Amino acid sequence: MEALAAAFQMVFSVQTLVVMVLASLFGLFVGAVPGLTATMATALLVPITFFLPPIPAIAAMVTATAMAIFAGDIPGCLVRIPGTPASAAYVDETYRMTVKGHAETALGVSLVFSVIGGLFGTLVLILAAPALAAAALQFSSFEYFWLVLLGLTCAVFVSGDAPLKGMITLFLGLLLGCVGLENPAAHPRFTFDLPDLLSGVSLIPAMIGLFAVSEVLRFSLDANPLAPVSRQVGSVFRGMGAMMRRYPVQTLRGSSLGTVIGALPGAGADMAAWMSYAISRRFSREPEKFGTGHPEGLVEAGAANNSALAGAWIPALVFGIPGDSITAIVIGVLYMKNLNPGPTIFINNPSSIYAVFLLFIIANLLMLPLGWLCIKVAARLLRTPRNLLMPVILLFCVVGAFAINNSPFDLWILVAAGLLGWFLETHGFPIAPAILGMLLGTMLEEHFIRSMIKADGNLIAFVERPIAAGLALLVLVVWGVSAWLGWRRRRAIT
Amino acid sequence: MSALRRPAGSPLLRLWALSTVGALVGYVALVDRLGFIITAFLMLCSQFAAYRVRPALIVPVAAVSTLLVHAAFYKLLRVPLPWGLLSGWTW
Repeated sequence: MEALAAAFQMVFSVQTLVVMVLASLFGLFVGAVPGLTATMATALLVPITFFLPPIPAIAAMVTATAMAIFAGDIPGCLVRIPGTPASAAYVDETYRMTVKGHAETALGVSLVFSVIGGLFGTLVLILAAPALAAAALQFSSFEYFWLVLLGLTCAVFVSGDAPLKGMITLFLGLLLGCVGLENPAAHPRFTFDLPDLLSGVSLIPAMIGLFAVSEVLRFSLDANPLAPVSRQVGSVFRGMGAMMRRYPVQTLRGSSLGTVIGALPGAGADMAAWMSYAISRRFSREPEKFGTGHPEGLVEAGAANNSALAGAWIPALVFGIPGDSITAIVIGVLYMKNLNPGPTIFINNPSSIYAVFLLFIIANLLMLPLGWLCIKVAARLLRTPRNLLMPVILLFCVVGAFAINNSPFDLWILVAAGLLGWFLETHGFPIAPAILGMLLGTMLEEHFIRSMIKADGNLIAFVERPIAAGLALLVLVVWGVSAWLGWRRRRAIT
Repeated sequence: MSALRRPAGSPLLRLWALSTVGALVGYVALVDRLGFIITAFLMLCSQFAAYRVRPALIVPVAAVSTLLVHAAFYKLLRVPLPWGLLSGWTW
């Protein structure tokens, strides 16, 4: 009990609270600017944590990332440019809602259900961390292979009415993901002898190009460049109670899936958002509304990506194994502050663990007022006339693309991706699956090769382990059902 | 999504689109040599002019935006934006 009291004292100190507010503003800014990711926010905070005592340092990182993941939804909703890869899964949906005049609903859903998802993930973290970590450790490369395959399948679901076009873009993304040295054989693929391509096509510049630059290009072809892009954003919280009553299953499902995916090392908020949105569409009672500006998918995916953040801490705290790229950085900070993660931390330093739990709860609650403030500011900023706004967005794109790797070559990737994205969109191809393909392609191959090496080339090994077999069955069922539904639809048309 | 916006056939629009692509490519090609501040300023000015922003607004908004973005990214986020021709005035 004294540990809990000590935790309260550490968390509710002036220094911690001030740090949390400042970190929130930082996180909101980084999340809202396309090209700057939550992982980058965490990395940038590390030097600052040198000067802070342990709890404020962790407070800064937890708060900044929670805000950043939420804030990525804001530009996606208002100008169709996702701020972080996690928001790319449902950017079309949110933008459609804005066009229909429901921007405040989209943003409200995103905000409120991010908070709910984050709190749910924190609850799971508090109650079930050791048990979940033990289950997560059962996942080996075989299980991961099927999981990633499931994730890739979700990309096709997300593209809804044109699944074939979605598949084409997905394979394009997979092809782009092939480029470079980052394959199990370390053999340079499609590098054309360019040293810059050895590390492959960077995801962030490609994403900014595909979404943002293509959007700017589309604007430049628009006949009416002076119209302001977003309508008045009304009260963001109105109607949220009704949303919670209407979609309890989706909220729960999104939060649980997000927490589980976050808890799996290597899979983070991005994958959680994608899978959750696809699942929402697949199990919805109104699937035809998806893509027209329907909040159901947002409820689920918004909850999922924030709960994944909390879930990622489960293996991090219990084993010192990062659940995603953000926790990888945080673990480094934990070691630096003598809070060595692992089972002993629960015994030796319970007050610090309680403090971390408290920080998560406060950070998620802080999201409500600060996120609301951010929405108001962003809505005002984005209401400037588009002929002023778009060139500035273009400037942010080039700087953001450069900022990730400080590589001028990434700028060329930006240009190429922008042209490609514009071309794809004009012909009705969804861009989002390409991003997912790039994100997951390397993972899929790595787990496949690793599994094959472990199994000595024996393919049966992929279904020998129970969890792997279960996931494999799931993948086959999903493929089978989709194929059957597609065939039935074709029959109905002819 | 392609139903949301359809490119009109007017040659002026094609010119706008080309100017945007041109500005982007121009930025990428020149930024290392001329430095971020100059190139970004030129890019913004050319784009504002192409999109018919009020002439009185073009230079001030471009200058302020460039400096703000530079401050945010170079000072705050420590991104090594190239100095180029202005290498004497680093801060």
